[in-house]
Amino acid sequence: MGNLDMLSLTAYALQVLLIIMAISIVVHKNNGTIIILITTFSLITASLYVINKAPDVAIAEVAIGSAIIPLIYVISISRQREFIVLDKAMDDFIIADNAFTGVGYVLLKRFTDFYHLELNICNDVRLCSLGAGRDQLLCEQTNVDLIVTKDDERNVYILKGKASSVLTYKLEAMARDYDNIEVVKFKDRDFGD
Amino acid sequence: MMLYVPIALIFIPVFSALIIYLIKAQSIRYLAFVAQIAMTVLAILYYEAYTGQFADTFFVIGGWHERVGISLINDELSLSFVFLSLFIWWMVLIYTFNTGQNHRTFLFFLMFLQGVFLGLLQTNDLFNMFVFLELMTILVAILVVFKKAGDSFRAGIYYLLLNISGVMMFLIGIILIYFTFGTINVNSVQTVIAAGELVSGDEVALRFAYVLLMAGISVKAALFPVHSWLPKAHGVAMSAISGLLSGLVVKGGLYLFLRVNQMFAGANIDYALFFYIIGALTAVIGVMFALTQKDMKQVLAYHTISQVGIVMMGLSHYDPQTVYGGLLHIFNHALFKSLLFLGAGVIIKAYKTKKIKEIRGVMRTMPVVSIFMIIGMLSITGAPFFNGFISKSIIKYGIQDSGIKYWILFIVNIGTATSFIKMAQVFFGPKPMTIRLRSLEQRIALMTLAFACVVLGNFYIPISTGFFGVDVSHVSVFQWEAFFDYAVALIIGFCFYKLVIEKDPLTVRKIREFNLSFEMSNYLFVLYVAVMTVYFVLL
Amino acid sequence: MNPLLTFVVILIGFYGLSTSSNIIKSVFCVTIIESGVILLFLNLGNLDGGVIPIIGDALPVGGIADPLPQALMITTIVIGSTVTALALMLCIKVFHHYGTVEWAEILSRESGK
Repeated sequence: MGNLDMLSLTAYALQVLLIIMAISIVVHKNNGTIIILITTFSLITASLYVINKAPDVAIAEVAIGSAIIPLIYVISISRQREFIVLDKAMDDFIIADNAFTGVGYVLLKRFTDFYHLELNICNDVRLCSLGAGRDQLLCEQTNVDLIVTKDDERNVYILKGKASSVLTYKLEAMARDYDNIEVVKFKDRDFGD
Repeated sequence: MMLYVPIALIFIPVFSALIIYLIKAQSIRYLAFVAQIAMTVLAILYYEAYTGQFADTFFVIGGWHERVGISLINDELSLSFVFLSLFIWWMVLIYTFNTGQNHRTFLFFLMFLQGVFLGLLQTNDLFNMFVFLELMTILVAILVVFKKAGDSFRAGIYYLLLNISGVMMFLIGIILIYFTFGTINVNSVQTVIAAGELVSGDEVALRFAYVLLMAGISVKAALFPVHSWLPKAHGVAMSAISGLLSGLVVKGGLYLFLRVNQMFAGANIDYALFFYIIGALTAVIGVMFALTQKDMKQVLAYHTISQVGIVMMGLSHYDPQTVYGGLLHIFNHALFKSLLFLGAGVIIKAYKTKKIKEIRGVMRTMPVVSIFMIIGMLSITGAPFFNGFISKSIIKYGIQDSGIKYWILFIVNIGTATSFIKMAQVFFGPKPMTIRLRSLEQRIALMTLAFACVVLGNFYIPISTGFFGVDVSHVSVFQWEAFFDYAVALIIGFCFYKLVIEKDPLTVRKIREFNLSFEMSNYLFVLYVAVMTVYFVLL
Repeated sequence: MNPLLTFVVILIGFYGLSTSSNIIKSVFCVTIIESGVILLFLNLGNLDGGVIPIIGDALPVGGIADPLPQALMITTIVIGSTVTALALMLCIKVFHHYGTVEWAEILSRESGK
């Protein structure tokens, strides 16, 4: 224990703390908590870089690992909670008023609450005026998850989604009780050209 | 003046890629062809001035001292790879010439990848290799998901995460070499190891560094436990990208295998048996999975794995003749695999489906393309008069002393023959109604590749002695045994196909649906590193 | 002693990769492995009693810590952040296509369904 002065003692303590943080990152289940743990991990490594006589690397690590990386993690995790619905039916199937709420809105709200998603209803006029043939292209190229249209002859509402997404199957299971709602799945059209 | 050609070969594609991306005119795409012509001319002039002397091609960037600067070097091995990659990139550029929207972005990534790959082939500095490997991983991941459809996203993320952890192992190996020898210049390390005065602590660190470097290289070259990224990534990418990846980027890993072994040559590490077993396992597993797939591009992707296994079987010997067989198989495989992938792209685009059972009558619809595809299939199964036969014969000649090695190669050949007999079904049958496709550039690319296969298959003796200085006159096309072996392999393959594969029994279905989860492949990777540590360091 | 502790961090990162259930967890573990490797390199390049490698007036008595690893590691940090950004972007695209980010559910869907 001869040459243990303050600096190397701090270095040992920080490294043990680093191991504890790494174990807790691996063990935790909630992704939001892990972002904060990653920020702390990066700050501890930056301090260790300074103790190891590399201050320029420490500046780079603080700028990138503690500022930019948690930002992009937060952005990407929050993008994964959205469920975007395009409403082309244009009637009171989906309305979120205080007075009454349409049948479709009740179903979609129950669905998104059950699976911890955020419902986002869009009725952009430009997108709604595209013909029905472009629906699959809309689903593939943009972020839209579900398109709601109305079939006037049979008086059913058709919800169109992607067949590759598990959410469409879960919505179909939930909509089985309603007989004027039908779920249609777009099959994948990729040939790998 | 000639000394600066390697720098030009790296930076011309990168700068032309930037200019193509920034200028928003449609006619700027021709700059890619101009850049490619410039690079070909420079490479040919450089080869004319090449004298074979090490000191003539050695060039340190920035004029630093050679132990701390980044240096570039070229010898016969890297020059041959440079010519191969220029040729394959020409083919891909011609093939994808007019493919619609986003073409400028596509050319940007393609030319950037070419610059990075040429840099990887010529560099002499270990950390530079690491940087180029990471850049290649990022660019290939972007190119795999370029089509933004189908399963390409899951293939892309799987590829990215697995390869990044592999390249991190490579970096830890570099760390160990730096702190043992004080330099990361490949030539300096090679000289120090060959001088042979190492203390025992250095010896252990040296072997452990070898294990870690080989772990990183095995991930990039798709050897046995860590091969599972390749069928996913190559099966769902665009056909031109699949041809490029299977033909060339996988060979970058094998090139690094040769370089690292050359660097550690003085340390007497006994790698022959271990890498032979890995190569044999890779080849057999690749063929086994290839027989069970129904999707045309997945079959070709699994065949890439098995041919890389055959190359490893050749490269893992100590005598230069068999190593040359493995090296020649790298070139042959690049040619016929890209030919097969580009041809498959033409067929799939015309028929709008990927399953072999649904495509029929290609011979009547596209007779020219089907002739080129048949040339490719004959090459990969090792028919005489085509180039696959030459390299497989050299490897067979090198391992003819050991019975079991010979039988493993024979089984792999039978499996390859079976699987291509199954794929040859697409040529027969009636002509379907609505196929109409005319694209001249694609046919030119296919024709050049098929021509190269036939040329290499017949004129191998002058090419080998002229370029590499290796004598392969013991392999002759006109022996009875060659035709007999090939006919036997075809007949056994045909019987196996008719009796077993066509009926699609439960075993075949189980193998087809076998999926290695991401956690499992990482676990296998760590296990692989542990086994290599035990074998190389402790034994 | 110090390099061994850092090596433990790298091993914990690989363990996390082998047991992660969703994609974002895997990207977190790759970040841990990156930081661990960079710390290992700088730890080995450290010199007890040396000074920070910045040019001053006179050559110091105790020696200088090695500057080459520091230059290489700045490059590695930037490359690591690029890879993380690319992986997270691919993760968003995977979510929009498949509706989930669990590895088991994504890999078990048959192609073309």
